[in-house]
Amino acid sequence: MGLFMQTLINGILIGGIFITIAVGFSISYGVMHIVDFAVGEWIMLGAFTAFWLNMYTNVDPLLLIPFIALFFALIGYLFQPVIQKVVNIKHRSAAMMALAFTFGLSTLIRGSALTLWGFNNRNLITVLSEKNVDLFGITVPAIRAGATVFSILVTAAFAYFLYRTKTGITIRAAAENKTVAGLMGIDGHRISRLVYSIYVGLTAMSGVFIGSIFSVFPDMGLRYTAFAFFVVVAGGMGSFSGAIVAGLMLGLISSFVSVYMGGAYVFLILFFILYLILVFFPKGILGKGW
Amino acid sequence: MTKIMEIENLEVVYGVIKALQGISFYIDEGEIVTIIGANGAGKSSTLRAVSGMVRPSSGKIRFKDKDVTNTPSHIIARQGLSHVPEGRGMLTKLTVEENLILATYNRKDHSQVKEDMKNVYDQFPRLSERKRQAAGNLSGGEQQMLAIARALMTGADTLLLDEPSMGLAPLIVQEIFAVIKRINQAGKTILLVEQNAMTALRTANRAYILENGTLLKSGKASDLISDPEVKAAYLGGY
Repeated sequence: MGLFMQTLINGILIGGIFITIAVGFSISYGVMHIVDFAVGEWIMLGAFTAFWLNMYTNVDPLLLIPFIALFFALIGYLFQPVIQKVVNIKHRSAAMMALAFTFGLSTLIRGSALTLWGFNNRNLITVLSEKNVDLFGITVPAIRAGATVFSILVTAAFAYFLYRTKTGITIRAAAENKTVAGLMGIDGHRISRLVYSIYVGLTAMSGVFIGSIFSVFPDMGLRYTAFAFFVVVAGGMGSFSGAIVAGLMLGLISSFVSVYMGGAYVFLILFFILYLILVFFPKGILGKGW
Repeated sequence: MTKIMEIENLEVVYGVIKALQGISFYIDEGEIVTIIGANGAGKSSTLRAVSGMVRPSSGKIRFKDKDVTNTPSHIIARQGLSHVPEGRGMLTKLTVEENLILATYNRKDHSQVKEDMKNVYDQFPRLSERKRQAAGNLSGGEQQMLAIARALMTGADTLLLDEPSMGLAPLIVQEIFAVIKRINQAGKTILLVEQNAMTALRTANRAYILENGTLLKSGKASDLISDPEVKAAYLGGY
């Protein structure tokens, strides 16, 4: 029973962090219709940025989070037009070209990171590391609890922005139909740029948490790219609430599978479940995608 | 009267198909002008080219003494032209109110926006009742009302309406056309594209008849309604 509770709580905590990545990825996909294969690389770069900044400035990685989020939001903002350009090229399968482009980008970033920083695992030490908190009688690492609480707050703020502000309305409008939004005077390119920027910022921020819970290495992003796909497809393409449910599910599945069956089986089970979801709920578990 | 819009030799090409083969027409401020024609005559293409949704392959579009040819639709929209597209262009996942708020995104005259919002809800009480419902849950007639209300909320003075009667029951069509007349009397210029020729001609001041991408006839709507050729081809002979 103790092990079960421990696994359950761990799963929820990790799921909480996945939610932030999932929501950003899903909304960015919803607006731009581009699958960003580099999602894991933004996580890895976020973690490495925290690691190096911490090494040279000795500022706690958790305090660096606002800076890292803003810095990567800026990178996303500057980089988005490049991706947009690939999609705008008159080509029969522009979406496919964009996919190939972000895949190449991901390989380039990962390869460069490997060359620069090697295979070594590095640890991101924060003020919460090696501390524990009691949750419902279960002892959990403080960093996991803190990261989850923070992620959930950020996601809630993002939800508020999307559903309660004028700019949020324009984002949801652009996600549903860019042409109609354009007729209302909304610049679709500007919205895409804004959304991509938010997504890259959120993802890099989550990278700091992931890096401090596990460890930091150039290949760390890979599994999260696969996770992001799981969440977007399982939750329904472009669905906010679907991404939240799928993010939580992902946390629980990976936690339970690695405890009761072994870490090697996580992807096997995960994608088997994704297969079942696609067969029985092709629009995502909440039926809200398309 | 001043011309608010002038179109010269407008040509639209999709691949190898010429949808519009060089049409010219104008709209005076405060008018209701209608373009009638059969399916595939090029009516929607005309509106799409004017509002910047498609790029004309040649020709000139002037709106309020400015050349707006090849201007992206979001820029044209900010100059006071609002296009209610065919099929109403609902953002189905947004609520009725969000659809209206969206339309005001670029407006800076906040006190006027508030007043316009109140006017729109007064004019369309059913939208007011359904404020918080997703637009996708409205009936066809209500969606058309919302589409027109949303165009009004952009603060536009010129409205392009693409087949507002499409798929609606006759009684609702009457209601929609009454609304069109009312907003015209309140000062909006309207370019109306319709297959429902009789109702359109009865509503409009002037009309153009479009066939296979060229303008066949033009004139006062009241003259065209009794034109034998028009009668035979578009008004079912009565």
